[in-house]
Amino acid sequence: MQEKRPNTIVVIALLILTAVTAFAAGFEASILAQGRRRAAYAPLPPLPSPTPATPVPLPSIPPTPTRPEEETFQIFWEAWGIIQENYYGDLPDMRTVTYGAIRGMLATLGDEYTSFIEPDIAAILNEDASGTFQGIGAFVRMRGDGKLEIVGVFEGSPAEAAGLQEGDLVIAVNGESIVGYSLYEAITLIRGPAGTEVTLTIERPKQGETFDVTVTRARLEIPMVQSEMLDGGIGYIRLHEFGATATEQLEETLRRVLAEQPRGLILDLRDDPGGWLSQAVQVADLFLGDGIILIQRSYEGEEVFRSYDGDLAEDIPLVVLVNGGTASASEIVAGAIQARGRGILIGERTLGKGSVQRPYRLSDGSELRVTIARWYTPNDVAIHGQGLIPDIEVPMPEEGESGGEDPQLERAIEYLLTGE
Amino acid sequence: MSEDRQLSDRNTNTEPTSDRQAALFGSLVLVLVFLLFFAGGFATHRMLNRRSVVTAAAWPMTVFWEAWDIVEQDFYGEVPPPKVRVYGAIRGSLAVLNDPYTVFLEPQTGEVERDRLSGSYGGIGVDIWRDSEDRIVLNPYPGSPAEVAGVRAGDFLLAVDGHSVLTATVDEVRARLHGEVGTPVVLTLSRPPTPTHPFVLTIVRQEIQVPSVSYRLLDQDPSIGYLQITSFTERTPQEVEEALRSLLDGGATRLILDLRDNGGGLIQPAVDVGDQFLDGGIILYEVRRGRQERAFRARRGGLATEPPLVVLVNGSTASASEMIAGSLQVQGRATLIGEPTYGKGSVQLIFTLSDGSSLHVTSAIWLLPDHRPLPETGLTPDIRVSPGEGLGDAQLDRAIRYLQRGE
Repeated sequence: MQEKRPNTIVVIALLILTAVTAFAAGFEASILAQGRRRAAYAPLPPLPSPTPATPVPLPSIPPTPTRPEEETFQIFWEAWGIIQENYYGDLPDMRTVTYGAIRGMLATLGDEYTSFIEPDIAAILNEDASGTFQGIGAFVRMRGDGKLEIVGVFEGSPAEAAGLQEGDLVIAVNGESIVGYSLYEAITLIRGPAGTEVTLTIERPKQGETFDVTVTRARLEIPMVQSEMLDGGIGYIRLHEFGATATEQLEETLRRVLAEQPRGLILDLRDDPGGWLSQAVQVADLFLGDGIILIQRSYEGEEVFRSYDGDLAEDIPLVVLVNGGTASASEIVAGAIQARGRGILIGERTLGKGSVQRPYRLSDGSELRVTIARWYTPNDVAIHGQGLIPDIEVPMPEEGESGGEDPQLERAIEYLLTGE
Repeated sequence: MSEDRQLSDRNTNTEPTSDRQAALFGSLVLVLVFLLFFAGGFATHRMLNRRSVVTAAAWPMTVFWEAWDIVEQDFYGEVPPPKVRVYGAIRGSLAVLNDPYTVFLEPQTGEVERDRLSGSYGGIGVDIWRDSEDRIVLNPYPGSPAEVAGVRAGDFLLAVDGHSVLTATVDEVRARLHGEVGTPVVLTLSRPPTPTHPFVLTIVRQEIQVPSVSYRLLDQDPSIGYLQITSFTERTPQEVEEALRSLLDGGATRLILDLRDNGGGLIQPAVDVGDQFLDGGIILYEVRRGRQERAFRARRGGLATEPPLVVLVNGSTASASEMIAGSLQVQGRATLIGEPTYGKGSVQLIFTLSDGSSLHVTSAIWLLPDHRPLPETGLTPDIRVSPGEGLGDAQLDRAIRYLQRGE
């Protein structure tokens, strides 16, 4: 037994020695391996301005490229190696840098509609595009001073039930101040699963102190359609966007409006930024009989989208109101109605966004919207960059000068009543 | 071998076979332990190092390549070559830094810029200004084509290539004198004391190394020495020293330092110039990320630490020249006259990348002697004067008046 003790100690000592040596060797080996790689990004001595700079090639031992582009991409690492070694200010996290790189890469395509959307914002936009969302049911906007303003409350929504009003400012959510947050950060905090509660701290103009309001979130449908019967028996329908439930909502509204047997119909697509292509086609079909709605051209070829007989509103006299905010899916509908002679356009020239984007979900939840096609009206006119020219142009008075009047709507009513 | 023997020596009472087995087992354990800890050490270094140095492997670029592939496959329109897209990615990634001075320049632009910085052009090598009687006055650089052809300091310029310059601005005259190297230019000159007898000189333009400093005793008041620095190069301190000696020997008792349109340059020469006017004290601090701040001190024994001093500044007084102006102002050494300066108290290093593109990186900021950073709105002059219209120089006139009357 006594003989064994020194033996054990020796063994343990040996093990420890080996372990320590091995650890150090591994550490050192990594330094060596990385040192070589770092050499590829090592900065040159600064070339002071205004002394003429002579280009000195860097010793380049790039990591073995796994794809051909990565060789071209080495210059990116070179630049960022230098930034990391030398930049004075704080460096953003690498995710932000990667997103910046994606945006910069997309900018070289020269197409403003091919865009990159970060995960948080993509989640909100996708929920919105589905036509329903889980939240409190209020329209909001971010004011210049960083305060979130409620600009409208959905009928029958939890927000309405809790007494929230147009003009209320949301200062905090669940005790967390949101002043200075981006619009989408604020929305992300307010939304949440139906049935859960959210406490908003509200500042109400003309009321001294802020107060808390607790709202129970619900699953809500985004109201996309608004309608009204105008004097003279004119049906007025406004479509706000082409979300996934736009056709469904519009059809329901049309049914109700048509039941009152109007003389004519005004479809207001002003400031409608568009949405899904499929919704545009279905919406246009509601007003059009057999024929072409649009022609889409992509690298996959030409695709013709058609409308068919047998819909709700194929005969009633129709005016479509348009303006510079009428874009994309709205222009498809307005363009088809105009080109097919189904109705006339009144208002101002439309935006001219005649391209189709396909959304791609990337692995981290962000979204890439890529222009994959251009579309043309039934008589093969490109809309891209041109926009639609209304049959009757009526400018809108500057904001503040209008006095609540809407000459475009007035003109539409006049046209439907007089036929000119 | 020796290890084996030691082990077996000590295990005398065990069986030889089990002894060999034990040795084998021991070695195996050792090898395993070695490998395990080697890997551990390797990984530990990687983990520690990942925080400071990002390598291709550590960067979450997956999303970037996803986007890259989608664009290549599906974008309807012309996709620019990979290199152009990579340059775009670099610009986009730098944009998130929100620093207007950290920029990436593609190869061609980089070359143009180097040409601009090279500082040589085809000309005849003269200083030009307009005197109090609105005459265009010449002063040839030593050894310049103008001097060799016979132009003397103080000659009046009447015409260039037969075109009168009497109503031209100094910049216009300069532009007429510039041209391709090897081409001739004809000057019509007159010389005191017989200004009514013009004469003509033909001079062939050559490449001129522009001095960064020009100086003269003002003809409005020969007790005022005027010293203009257009940028801070390595030659500037020497040029300033010569200029100051000449001005002070010539009888200057008051000085005007003109830093208008001086966009900066190298900091050390700028500090050396500051030395000449300051008798000790801090000129500026340079602060780099993760390093101790560095104080640039004025050495004692400057040539012009006493004479009353006005520094002329304007909106194009930037960077190093702004820092010197600010330093002289903060130290109470000089009165600043002109317009607010540019407002750039940061230092950029210029790197040339392997493909010839260049990268400007903000790598440090400067602090004034009172430890304040340069305000983003620039330095506020003590006396605000706009340049005025016409041929005169209202800011210079104001500086002269200030030095003459002390207000």
